[in-house]
Amino acid sequence: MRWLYAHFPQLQLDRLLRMEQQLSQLPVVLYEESGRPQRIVQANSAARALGISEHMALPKAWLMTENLRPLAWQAKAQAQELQQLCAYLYRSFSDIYPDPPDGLWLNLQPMQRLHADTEVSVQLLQQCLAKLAVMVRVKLAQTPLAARALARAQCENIGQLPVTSLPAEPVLHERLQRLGMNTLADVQRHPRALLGRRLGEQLVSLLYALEQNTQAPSAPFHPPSFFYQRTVLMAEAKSWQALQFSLKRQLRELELYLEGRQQLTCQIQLRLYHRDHEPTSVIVGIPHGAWRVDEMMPLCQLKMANQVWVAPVLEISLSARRLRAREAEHRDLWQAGGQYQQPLSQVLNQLQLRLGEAEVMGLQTISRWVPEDAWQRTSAGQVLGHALPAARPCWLLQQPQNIPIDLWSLECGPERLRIPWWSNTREESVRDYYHARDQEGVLAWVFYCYQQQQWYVHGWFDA
Amino acid sequence: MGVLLLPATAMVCAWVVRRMKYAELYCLSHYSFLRSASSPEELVEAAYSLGYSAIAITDECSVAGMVKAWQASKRYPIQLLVGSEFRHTELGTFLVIAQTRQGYGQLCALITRCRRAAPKGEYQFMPEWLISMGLSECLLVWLPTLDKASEKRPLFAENLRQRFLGRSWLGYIRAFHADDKSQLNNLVTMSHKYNWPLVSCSGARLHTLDRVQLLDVLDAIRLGCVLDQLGMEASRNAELRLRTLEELQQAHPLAWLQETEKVAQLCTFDPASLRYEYPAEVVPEGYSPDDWLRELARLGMQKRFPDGPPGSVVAQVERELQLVQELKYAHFFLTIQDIVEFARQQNILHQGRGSAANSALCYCLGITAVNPTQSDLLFERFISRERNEPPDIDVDFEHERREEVIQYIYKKYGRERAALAATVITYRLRSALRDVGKALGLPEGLISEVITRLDRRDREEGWEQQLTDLGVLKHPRGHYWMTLVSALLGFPRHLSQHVGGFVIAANALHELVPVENASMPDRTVIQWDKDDLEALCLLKVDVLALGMLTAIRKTLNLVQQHHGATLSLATIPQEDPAVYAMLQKADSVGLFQIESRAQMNMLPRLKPATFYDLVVQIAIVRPGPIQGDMVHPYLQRRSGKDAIEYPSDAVQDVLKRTLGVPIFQEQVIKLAMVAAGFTGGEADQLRRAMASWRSKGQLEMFRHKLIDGMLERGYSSEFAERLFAQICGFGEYGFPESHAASFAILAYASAWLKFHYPAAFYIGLLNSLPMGFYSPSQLIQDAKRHQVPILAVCVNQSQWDHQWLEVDGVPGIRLGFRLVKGLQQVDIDRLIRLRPHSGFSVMDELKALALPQSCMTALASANAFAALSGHRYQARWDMTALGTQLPLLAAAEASQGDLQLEAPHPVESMREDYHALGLTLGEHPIALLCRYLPTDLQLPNHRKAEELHQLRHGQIVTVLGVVTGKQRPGTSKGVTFLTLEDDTGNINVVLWQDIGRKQRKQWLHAKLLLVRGTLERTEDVVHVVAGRLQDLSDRLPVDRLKSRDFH
Repeated sequence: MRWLYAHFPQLQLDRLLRMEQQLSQLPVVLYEESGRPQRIVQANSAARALGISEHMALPKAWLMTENLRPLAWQAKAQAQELQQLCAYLYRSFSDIYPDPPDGLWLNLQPMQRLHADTEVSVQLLQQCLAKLAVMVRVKLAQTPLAARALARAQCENIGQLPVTSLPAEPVLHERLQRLGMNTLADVQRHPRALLGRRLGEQLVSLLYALEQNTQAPSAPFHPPSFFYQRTVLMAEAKSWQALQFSLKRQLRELELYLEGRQQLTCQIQLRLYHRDHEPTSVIVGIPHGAWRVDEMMPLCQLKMANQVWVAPVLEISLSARRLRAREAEHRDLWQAGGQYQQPLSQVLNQLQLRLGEAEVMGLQTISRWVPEDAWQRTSAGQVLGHALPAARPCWLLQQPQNIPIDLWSLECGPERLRIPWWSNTREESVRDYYHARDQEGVLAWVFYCYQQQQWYVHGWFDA
Repeated sequence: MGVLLLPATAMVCAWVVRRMKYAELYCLSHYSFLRSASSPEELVEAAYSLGYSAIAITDECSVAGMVKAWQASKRYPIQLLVGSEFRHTELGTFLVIAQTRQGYGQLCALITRCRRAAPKGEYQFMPEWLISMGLSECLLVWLPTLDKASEKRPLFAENLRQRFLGRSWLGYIRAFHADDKSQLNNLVTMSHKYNWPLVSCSGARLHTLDRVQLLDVLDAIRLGCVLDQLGMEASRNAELRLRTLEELQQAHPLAWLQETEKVAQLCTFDPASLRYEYPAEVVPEGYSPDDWLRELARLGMQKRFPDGPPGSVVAQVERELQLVQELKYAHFFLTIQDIVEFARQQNILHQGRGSAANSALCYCLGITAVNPTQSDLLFERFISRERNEPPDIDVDFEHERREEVIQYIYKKYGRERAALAATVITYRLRSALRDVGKALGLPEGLISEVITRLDRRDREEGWEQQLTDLGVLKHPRGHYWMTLVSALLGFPRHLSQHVGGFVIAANALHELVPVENASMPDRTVIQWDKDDLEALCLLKVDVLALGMLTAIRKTLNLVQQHHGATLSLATIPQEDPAVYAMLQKADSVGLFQIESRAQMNMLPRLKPATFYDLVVQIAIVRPGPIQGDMVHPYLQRRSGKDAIEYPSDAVQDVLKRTLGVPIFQEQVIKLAMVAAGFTGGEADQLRRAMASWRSKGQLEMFRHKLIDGMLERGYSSEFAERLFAQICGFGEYGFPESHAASFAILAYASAWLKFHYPAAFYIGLLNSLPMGFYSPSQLIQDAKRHQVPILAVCVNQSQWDHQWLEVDGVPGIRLGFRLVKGLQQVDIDRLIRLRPHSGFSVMDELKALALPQSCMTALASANAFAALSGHRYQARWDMTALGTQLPLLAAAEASQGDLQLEAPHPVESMREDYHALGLTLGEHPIALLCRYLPTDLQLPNHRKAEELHQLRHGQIVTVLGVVTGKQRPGTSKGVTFLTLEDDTGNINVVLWQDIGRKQRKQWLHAKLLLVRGTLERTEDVVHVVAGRLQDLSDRLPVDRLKSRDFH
């Protein structure tokens, strides 16, 4: 047998279950968010035991159990998972062909130089995958298509394959079934020429591909030109100390990667994944480049040791994309000469590295009536927004300041604004805004708050 | 938020607190769909409470809220101005207010023009129409958009001012925006430039600040976004509301406020002056309407009673004619008679119903087939002198031919004079949950989950409780969701067309009420619904569609064709004991009104033996009698087990005909009058409240009066409470005796036909589907049980419709192509036209017709080619060809001959039968499964349907069958009735609420269900009360088995 196919029916779910082991006791499903109705893509064993299956509509699954934990399926995460799996297996197998989103082929022919018996290769694969705790269904066949169909349909030989499992248009499946041909053996029984004549070339080509075509099914896997690794932590990390061990292991992998390629990295990007929160992103710039763990670890420590995270870390990913040859000459970013114009993004990166990321921000106006809601901080470099509504000052105070209105003279107004009831941050209230001048004659934006029965200055107009 | 007090500002000069008269000229009600959070009634009531002198409801290009506002203005005395808002992107907003009745007609004409020029639900407004259309009796308020000056404005403004000289104003809204001052300056400049007076108004979208949250949600729904994304589209404050007079004085110049009163004083239009004028053409020249009605009644009486009418009928007709004359309703009867006469000439079967439909007069006019000599019906509700309500006659026509009647009305009266009444589509729980949830930005998944899990039929746990149990309140906006959904329920969403209520006017209808486009092409609807029409005492004629009439018509035609008997609804032999004997055995599948599970259960207990028993049978299985616990007493008294007693003579008069138990709606109303002392007017209010009890809780206010009134008159509190429970039940599904009698005539006719001509009956029914409770599969199973031979669909024998034929001397049915899924009638017409007399002999003859592939595939799937190819696999193979795209293979095929495929397995055949036809003529699925399922999947031991009658009451049994029906009547306190079908018949399963809830996933979607439970027997009615349920659907290889769920 030359081809092995590995099908991972719940690849993304396996990763989630590794992260939160208590979930495995509950019926958990991943569903496609955009579908109408939303359909289930992956279901764990607890869910399957209740009769929930793939392709079932999510509302129907809800009716099967009160305890269902539905989570959104993410195509990007699934693709990354498969890529990582291929990269992992690449250490042991040379000829890998990914079959997104949830399978891959191994060409065992080159491996026969090492292991004459294909069974040994299968065992090796099982050992590798056992460490990752992913559910896998493996089948061997002479052709890649047959191996794939067998693995996905869980059949022992291709004659048993239901016609509905064949990689063809549903209309062909239906036509075959409507002629009483329910398995591949039912189809194979009839003269090929007659089948072709009546049912089309697609069927003949399909039968050929299943029975004889040993050609590689897709482009082979090539390790990416950058380093990326994502790891589930053994235990939730609440502090830098708890994270160090896993990070060091990832940096060691990076070192091996860089050494093999005689490269340096000028930047490391870390992403820390939390439960119910957006991931924390940390960029460690290494202007001179580095490739050894001993060099990289202190820089990471410098950047992260004092950071406070929004929630415990469940997973960590490390990527190094800005790579260059180790012996190559490079410009020193910190001593750039007079004529050298750094792009804004570089300046911002350098400022952020020195001052801290949170200290360098952009501003953006947004369409809201309530002044506090009418602007927001954005990441540095983005200068986008709408024009300010007329009669509003450009300079808004961080917090409105209480004023003695007797010392002010009101000019025009009021504009009555309410803090809407759906605002998550402020209490519902009503304010009357006026243009007013203080004793020095400076024009300001003041308001009277009905709830607090107080006057405040909220902003200043240009002179 | 409380009352806003204005701080010291430039407007403080208006602090002259004194009483003044103010008329609000600009208000939107929730009939400006999704733009206002207040009903017309609420706006009127609020304006009255605030001390306004008048209020104008000026909905956007609509007067849909006028009648409700007018009714409210009678309760809260305040002058009502009728107007409408027209918006134009360049020029701003125009308010047109009717000054007089003529002005109202002009306003309606303008609205009609705008509405007719745009698709349903929209309008197109051209400001020039204000000048070009005659609005001589209307006032105009213009709120110009001052920051978008158009070049044509000066000319337009001048023309407009000239046209409305002395009748127009520039309107000012103090909105508390940043640019208020510049707006005000611009407006004053414009006023000086054109010498145009200024007037204040509010543009209110709220009657109270409490509704501001709902208004925000409505804005978000209208704009299709989440609240947080409303941005500048959100209202920046809550000032577009009805303000107190003090607030108004603070915000507006006093002179402009006082100007409003001047505007109001110019208006004299009162909606009460709207008078309906009957179409004149129904009365021939030389006759008065009453004389012509009398003449038609006389002619009809001769026709109905060829041997001379009984004296009682003559007297009854005379009484009714006098009443009609007194109340001036002759035109109404003549209009309906005219429509019915058209239907009779066209041989379209019809039957009238409604309060007035079963009068002796209507029998003579041919409107109803209920013979006054056959039953002694109460005609008290015929037309009520006391209640001054228009007579109610609905006429049902064959559903496939109703369109002919509608087209006749349009042709006779013209589209200018006839239009359908509107139905206001309102927010229901599901739509409110979805729309509010989306507006609040709740995750789509959560909304779907809640809607999926919500059991709307669970009466004991209200939806609020269910949502709480589902953990909705844990969501930060969960509380808002519940509150706002509750507020939104019942809010109008859009106008739709009434099922068949026509308003026909003597002159152009748009002078009475605006007419707009409906979604169906060439249909128009007016802007009022049936309640509005009733409130204004306008007459509508209900032209409804009824499937059973089509079925009876088709059956009667077959009976005439094949048995030579010419029958009609009125001539079907009455009181046939054999027919009643069939009904007493609950053999009522396919019969009108008495085919439901609940009706079938009642038939063996009530044992109808006369026409009036059928009338009672139809009315008793309704929420009113069931919730009022009247069913059991009636049955006990009928069977002689309980004595018939009356608390008083007055009550005896009302209840005598129903053995002392109130069963009909009018009996309940009458009881309120005789036993609780309600006046005619109060009884009328009670009747109206009954119709809207669920949504508004209006009945509660009658509770004390009713109960106290009865206690005062010496009735027991138990009797009084029971009567009130009855009223609540009737509230939702009122069933007057006259309706029941109209339905009973069809129930009897269908039963008589089923008993005497079963083949013709099933053909008539099957050829009229979809209708009724049962699928074709269930009807054909029933036909088989009545020994009607059924022959399969055959390409050489079948027609589009099912056909009558004799099989070994017995009338039978040849199934028609209409049963085959995916066929187009036009293809089949061609096939039949080109079919040789002796039929096709080989497949190639059929191929030569070049019918669409989809048609051939569908026919093969239905096994219609069995005569040619033997079985469907072979037929499909024989007809499969790809043409010449693989020439090299052609030679190979020729040399190898053709394939002979194996016939399908019986289970596979059954699966395909259901897939293609929705039924099988072969063995029942249960019988097949018993025989062919592999050992490890064998069906558990169980009892068959036919065995259940021999088992004892209380015995534990296991039954299983295909689920063919699920019902949970509103009255059943959460009980679900499941119907299972096995190869010997139907099994009735009763599922109590707690068992149903606990095992919901086993039964809710099950197609094959096993039930272990207790057998219960009451007289001839046998149920299995479910204990444990098991879904065995995975053993059933059929996905097209149809269950009739929750109807």
